[in-house]
Amino acid sequence: MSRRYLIKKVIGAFLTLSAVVVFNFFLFRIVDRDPLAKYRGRSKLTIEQRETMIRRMGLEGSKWDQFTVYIKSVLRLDFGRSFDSTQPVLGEITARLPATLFLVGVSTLLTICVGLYIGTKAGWRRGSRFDRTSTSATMVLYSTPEFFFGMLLLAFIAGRTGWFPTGGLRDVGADYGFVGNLIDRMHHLVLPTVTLTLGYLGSYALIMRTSMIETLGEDYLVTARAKGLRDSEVMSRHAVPNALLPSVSLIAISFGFVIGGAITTETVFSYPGLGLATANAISNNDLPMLQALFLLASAAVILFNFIADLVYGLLDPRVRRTE
Amino acid sequence: MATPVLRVRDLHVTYQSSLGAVPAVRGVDIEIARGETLGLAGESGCGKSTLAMALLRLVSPTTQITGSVLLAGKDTLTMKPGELRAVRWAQASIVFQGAQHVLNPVQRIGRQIDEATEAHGGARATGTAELLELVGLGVRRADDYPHELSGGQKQRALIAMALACDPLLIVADEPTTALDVMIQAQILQLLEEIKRERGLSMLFITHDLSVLSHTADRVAIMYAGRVIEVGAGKDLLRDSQHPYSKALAASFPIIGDPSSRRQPRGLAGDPPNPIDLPSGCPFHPRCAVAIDTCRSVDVKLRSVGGAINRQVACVHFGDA
Repeated sequence: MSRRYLIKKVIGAFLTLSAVVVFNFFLFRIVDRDPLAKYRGRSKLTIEQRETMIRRMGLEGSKWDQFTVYIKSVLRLDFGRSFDSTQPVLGEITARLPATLFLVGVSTLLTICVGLYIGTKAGWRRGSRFDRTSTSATMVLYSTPEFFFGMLLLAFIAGRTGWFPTGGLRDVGADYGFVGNLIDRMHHLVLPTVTLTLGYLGSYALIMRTSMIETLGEDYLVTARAKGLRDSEVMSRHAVPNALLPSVSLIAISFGFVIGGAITTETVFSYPGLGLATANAISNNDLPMLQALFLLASAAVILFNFIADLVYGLLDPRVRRTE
Repeated sequence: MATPVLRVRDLHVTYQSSLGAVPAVRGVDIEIARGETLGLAGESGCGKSTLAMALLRLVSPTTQITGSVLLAGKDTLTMKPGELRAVRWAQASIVFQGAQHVLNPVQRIGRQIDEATEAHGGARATGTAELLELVGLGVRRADDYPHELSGGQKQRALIAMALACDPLLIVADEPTTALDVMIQAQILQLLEEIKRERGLSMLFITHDLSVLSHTADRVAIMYAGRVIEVGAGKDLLRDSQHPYSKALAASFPIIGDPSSRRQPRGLAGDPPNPIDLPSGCPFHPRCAVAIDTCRSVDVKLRSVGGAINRQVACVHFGDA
């Protein structure tokens, strides 16, 4: 991969992130014009208390002054204190980050493997029984919101059979030793992971199927067959590497939604990650927390688009050298 | 007489479409001897490329192929999949038209050539590096991707690829069509040299008759899925007999004949719709010398003036 390509993509990602940071400043000043309003009714604030609040929220001085204070604190990763817990936002987020990363990471990996496999097979054997069955199924998965799967699993599997816990990160108050605790965590992770995987499987499979079908008409597949390759070799060496190209960017885009999906899934299973934190922050009007979570979600989307660009560069020599 | 490298008998290829069966090739007989080049010419849509693909059963599985295709004595149409794979490229390979996406855009050129030999056991007389040198590309091109090559270079790479398994027969499917005239001449010369050095047989498919005058030993003209005239290359171009061949020959200037250059003549009308072919001779609606018989009788290919090598399918010619 050329250095120019890399530098270009890094600069692009950085500019996008900067734009999001600026946008975030204005967004939360439009969403809530008067963050102090909710303290007025509850209790009388003294003048000093009021000024402390204003300073702490970064509402001092002109909009420009506020903006520079905001930028400086973002650069220091200082997002203020949560209205809800009064703890620093950064600490609240880093405490919940591993749980979400693990959940989203495992389910995304599963979704990519299973979804791409189904899509590849369905597209390659277009019109076969496998294609007809899997396409109907993935259509249903695609059009159902993921929290609905969560509720079904909760009601029928966790509720009815009791094979899996109904929520949480681990059994509260129990200590099963190192290995036991690990197994306990995995046990709690199964249903949320299945939910997220089912929720996003459909789109990945359908994207891969479409891009596979587009590849079927390509002349280089005729060349590969003419050379005497087996059908499976024609598929794995020639069709799949080309069909993956459009899928990579679409998957990167959809990854942004996985973080959104984690909000509902984590809520359904009371899984204490960033998604649940977002849901709580919304209902509690916890603006500093929301602001930081928004920034994090945007940064994640930008990061994954950047990764997608790199993977694309690895897969497609035309992107690598001509740009 | 030695077994011909390729003997096609009564080949029919019928595509299935939503509008019904499309007969693209309708009863073709051709033969290519060892070391011989047969030129196959005709307008686009006449079935010449379908014929080429059907030889190695490269048309889609829903397409119906009947007749026989004897490649070195064995019928490719009745082979089991494994047998067929073993014959593909090892006995007959194809030089595709390089302008299209016939090379995998995300695989290196060298890898795509190696792949052909690996599919056939890996043993071969000439290595990839040597092949690339042979076609005038140079070894370094092995590490290039298709988009890094020019049209002429891609065509050379495809020729190198076609030679990878030392085939008996090379099917050249419009190998010079998208190239400019200078490169066209180079590619033709390269094919000619390789053919002569290696004693290959060749089926050279083109819509450009002028290309065939120098390369082909014999020429077959196709129209609406049938061969309508066969003859020695030079004879056919100078002295074609079927009204369609005449029109086709007249639409290209003949090298060394300035008068033909001044007045190239086209052919009026469109090729017939294969789903709804005219009755009798399929060429009669466009034919200047059609008579009443042409509407009802489709004349079979037959010898002219007792010559074995000259056959025409026209009511006006041939020994009745």
